[in-house]
Amino acid sequence: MAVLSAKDTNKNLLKKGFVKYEGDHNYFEFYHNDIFITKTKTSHNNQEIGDPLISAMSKQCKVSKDFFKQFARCEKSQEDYVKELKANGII
Amino acid sequence: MTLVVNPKNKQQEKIIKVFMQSLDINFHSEEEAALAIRIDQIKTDKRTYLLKGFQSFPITRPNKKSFTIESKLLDIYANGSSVTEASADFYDQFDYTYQRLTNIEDEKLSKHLLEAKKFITLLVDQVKEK
Repeated sequence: MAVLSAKDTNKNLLKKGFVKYEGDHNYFEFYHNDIFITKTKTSHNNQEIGDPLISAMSKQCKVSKDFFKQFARCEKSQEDYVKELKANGII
Repeated sequence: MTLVVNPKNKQQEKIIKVFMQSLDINFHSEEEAALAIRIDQIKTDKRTYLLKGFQSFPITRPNKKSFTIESKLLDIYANGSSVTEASADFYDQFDYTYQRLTNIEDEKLSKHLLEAKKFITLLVDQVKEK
């Protein structure tokens, strides 16, 4: 079963252009050209992200599970993410 | 509960043994066996949303340890180790989605988030702040 570290995922989402929602730090938001594109909810830093949550987060981020895992592990860049969103018709 | 099976011969006994080994039997409470949550209000720590009638949201089981309640239209995918936990996550995400999207102008939202905004405002009849 695939597992991601919540601490690393949260840190890497911020590196890739996501911003924390000020009202609740479990929510991450992605903006492109000043448009609110995607939102996702993550776990607390001390928890692991298991397969069901990876699946939920990838659906909210509008990418495949495989892409999301690579993105969360910093193996994909913000540019790759924007390209993927464009390919998926989101942007 | 006891189920008695009397195989007629060795071959039948073998088949039954293989069949029994292939069974994946689990016991779930009535609540856990539900296929969807049906609600007419959503209560969070901060506010209560009164919905326009009862709404159903499907429950799926991605694995034996998890429950997921989702609404593709609202872009909400809530998880938990029980239906109660997944429902609490769903309510939290519903509150975030409503508050966030209704406070952003339509032209600042992507196509699917604008659809989610339209849908969530259609679902909600009244919001009562605590």
